[in-house]
Amino acid sequence: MEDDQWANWRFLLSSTAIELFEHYGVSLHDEAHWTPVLGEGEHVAGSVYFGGDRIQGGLTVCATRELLGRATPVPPEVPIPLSDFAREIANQILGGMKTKLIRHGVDFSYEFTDPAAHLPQTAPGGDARTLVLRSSGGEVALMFVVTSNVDLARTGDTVPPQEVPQGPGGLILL
Amino acid sequence: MSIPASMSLKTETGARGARTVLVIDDSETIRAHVASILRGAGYEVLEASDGLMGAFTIRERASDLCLVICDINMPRLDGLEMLEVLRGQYPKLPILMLTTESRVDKVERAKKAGAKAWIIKPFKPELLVEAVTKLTALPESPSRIPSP
Repeated sequence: MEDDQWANWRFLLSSTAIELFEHYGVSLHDEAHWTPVLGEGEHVAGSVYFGGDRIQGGLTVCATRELLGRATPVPPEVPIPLSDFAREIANQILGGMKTKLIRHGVDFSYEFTDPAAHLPQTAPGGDARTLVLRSSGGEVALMFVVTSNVDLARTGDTVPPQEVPQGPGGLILL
Repeated sequence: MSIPASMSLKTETGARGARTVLVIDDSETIRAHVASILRGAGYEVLEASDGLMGAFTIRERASDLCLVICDINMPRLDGLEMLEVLRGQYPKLPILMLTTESRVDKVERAKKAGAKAWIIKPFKPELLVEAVTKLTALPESPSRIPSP
């Protein structure tokens, strides 16, 4: 994938992750570089896969136990594997990205195994980048693997809204 | 997908005075988070880790339940599939969808299958309690959930 395409994916991933971590009380900053560097500390990771007609890939969230422990909404006396919280964060970031991508006419489903494993060997492999967002108390690495022919800069918000108007946290009575 | 009736005991649903909520989500974090909030609000909580276990639990414990909170994207049997399997069988049991999904067509599908409310993750604890309070206070009426 070309660098200008990655810049669009990067913005989508970064802005969604920053919004989500803000909900969990951690303020993150995007320092404008894709980087594989993570700081010191004991790290935990969780991954989610996704697949659709025009897009497939995976997202891994990796952060220190300290940062994830600070963000987790579960009371400290309840023992929860932080890898599960990392995976749920990846799930919720993908959910936020999906809502934004629907406006570009792009949809995908969550997968519980790597969808690339079922593709013919001639299919193009996914490109991968790692985005590191920083906070005063640690870093969050978002390892994003994607195969897509979607040009986010060209598609724009051309599709009529497919999502409910309520954003995250809104209550919809049916 | 069908749930073998022989594997479970089907009972009357939504007994008055029941204060037990079933939380169905494949994330242990979400189950623990929701359980902590609801226990703090005075509810008992049961947990299931996917739609299949959720359906079994509903069939076995329906008379104890006042509400089901259900994710959508889960392995084995997702939340919408679970609702469609159980559709019409527990008309007095309200169902709240708690999910990252926001597509109108999925919301409509859940409504047709009997869901009463929808919250997009992430959520604030006070909003969840407000939703649970509203749903468990609704007057019981068999017509609230369409029959198959």
